[in-house]
Amino acid sequence: MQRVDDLITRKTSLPENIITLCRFLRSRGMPIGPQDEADALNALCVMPFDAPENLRLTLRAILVKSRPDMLRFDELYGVFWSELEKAQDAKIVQDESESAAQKEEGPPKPSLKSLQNWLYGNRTEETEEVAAYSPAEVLTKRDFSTFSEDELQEVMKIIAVIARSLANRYSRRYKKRNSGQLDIKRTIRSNLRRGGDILDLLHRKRKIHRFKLVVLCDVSKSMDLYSKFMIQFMYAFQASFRRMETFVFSTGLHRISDVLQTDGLREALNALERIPGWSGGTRIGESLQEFNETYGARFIDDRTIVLILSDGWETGDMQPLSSSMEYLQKKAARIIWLNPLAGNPEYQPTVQGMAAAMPYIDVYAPAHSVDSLRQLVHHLARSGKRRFS
Amino acid sequence: MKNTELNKIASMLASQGYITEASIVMSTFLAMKLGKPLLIEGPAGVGKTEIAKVMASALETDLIRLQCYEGLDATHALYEWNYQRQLLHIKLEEESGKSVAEKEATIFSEDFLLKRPLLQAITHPKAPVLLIDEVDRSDVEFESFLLEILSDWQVTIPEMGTIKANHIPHVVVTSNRVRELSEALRRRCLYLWIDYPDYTKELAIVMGKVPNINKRLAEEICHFMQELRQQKLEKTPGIAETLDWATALAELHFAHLEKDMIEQTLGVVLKDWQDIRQTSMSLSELYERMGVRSKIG
Repeated sequence: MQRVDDLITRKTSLPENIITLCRFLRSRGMPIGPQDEADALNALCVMPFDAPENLRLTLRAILVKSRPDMLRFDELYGVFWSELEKAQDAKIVQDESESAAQKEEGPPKPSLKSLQNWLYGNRTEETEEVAAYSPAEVLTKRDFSTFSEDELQEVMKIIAVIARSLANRYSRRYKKRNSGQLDIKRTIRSNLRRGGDILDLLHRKRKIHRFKLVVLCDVSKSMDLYSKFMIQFMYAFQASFRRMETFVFSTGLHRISDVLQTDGLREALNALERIPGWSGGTRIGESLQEFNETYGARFIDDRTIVLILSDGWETGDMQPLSSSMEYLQKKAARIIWLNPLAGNPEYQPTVQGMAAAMPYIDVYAPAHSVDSLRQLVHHLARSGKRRFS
Repeated sequence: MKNTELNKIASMLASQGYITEASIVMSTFLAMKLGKPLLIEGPAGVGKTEIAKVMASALETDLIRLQCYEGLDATHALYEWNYQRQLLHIKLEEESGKSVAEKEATIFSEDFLLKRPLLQAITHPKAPVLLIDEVDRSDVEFESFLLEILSDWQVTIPEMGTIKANHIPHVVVTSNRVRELSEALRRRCLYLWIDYPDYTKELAIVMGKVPNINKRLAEEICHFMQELRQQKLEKTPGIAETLDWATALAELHFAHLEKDMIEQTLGVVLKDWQDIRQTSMSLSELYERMGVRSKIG
């Protein structure tokens, strides 16, 4: 039986409590390192103690590293101190009779449960989750729709990890070479008229060839799940593209790039659920048309890759779909259409909508499993090479 | 917040006309005390750059600014040799009979070095405030380069050797979140998010910066701006826009907001034609809600 005993014992000194707080926040996914812990303790020495609010402000300034973390910190900070109080009391009870203490508490709210587990030194679910990473291999080939609720959480995590490492590799592909190297030919030519002295140095202009990416995700009932995975996956690629815009559509079009950027993935996924008409029917053609009219001129140019995720079940008229696909094909560098159903070998893209869009698509690929998302990176990279090398 | 040093920063900010919040003062204070870079994020026009200016005047030192843009590279940020001047010098010295080594020593000396912001900051006689503005616009490669400088505080110039910082500058980094910054950079900094001001703060800013404005007009403008920011806009207006608008309307001697007037001057606040079109269409509703707000508040 493994117990983290030092966490349960009553902490009387502030530094110890702060370290506990840091470890707690870290276990909630905030990136807090030893350096931050040291900074927090250092700050205690310079921090004025005359207002109770100062401690929170100080720790917030030091431990928070991004806006999503800031929202999380604000949420967890109060929870921590009040639970710490309880944990200290609970420990006393626990010493007397361990099982009795847990029964008395009653079933805690789910958000608090893990904290309590953690504070009381119980073996947390987390440790078990980490252990479950190894059989991940099996998970990567399965269709998302076959996963149970528990497994979905797991897959979400795996996707985040894979996406991050792929994104790093992808950005490296675009590392600029020869920056600032002399262009000898042009230098000599332009200096000839000055009598041969090399006065002006001409440098080779480095090519900046990074693409912009527009992601359009179908969130109608049949596509809801796949879109969430897709957004989760592409989120890691934010820094790899010069610009990335994310839209979702069902019966209407919504831009979610701003929420993604400022409040992070978690908030964005929550916000998705609140969109009216979420998981309703699909009007692909009209949504794409709306996109072209409202954002087309601003976001689409010949260095933009358009990524559409949809099963092509158009419930409306076909005409808007083909005309807006034609527009996109003319203006964008490349169109990648991902269809989760394409993973099924028996499926033929004969759905009316899919058939209407097909002539304008550069890459048609499945997106139903972790492996197929991994493949997507190759498509993104290749589309860069073919047109601009 | 009674501490004297905290107070000093708060009053410093106030005397620069900067209306502040406790979290901003605390972060600025800690960044100065712990000697860590301060990363400030937030929407455009909320006064991120101002913090650096206030810090410089609070510390009575110079502000050195590095404006980032796409394609910015190490030479533009660190140093360049003044090649033309070196060449001229060699020509002049041709007859002097000095040895090659001597000549080389002169042309690769500090006189011929063009210091760019980062080197300026390192060699400054007193620890300056170094403002690295809009770092999200620079490339990922430049960000890693920056990281190196921010941790070592030394620059190696092959012809001259390594220059170590006299003092470690106070660094303020700002970002508009055009691109996600690397974890490594974030880890090195203290983080501060500045949001659009709430009504009370915005009113204080308007009253402070537009001295001859009618109080009722100022209140209504701020209520309207708060409502406007609730709308789904392409370019949400910042404080700068509020101030421009307030100044314009005060100049025209209006006592309070009228619907026609808003419609005619909307271009001061909104800079995107779709936003203007959309807002003019829902103006009646906005105007009404502003009225309700004014009555409550």
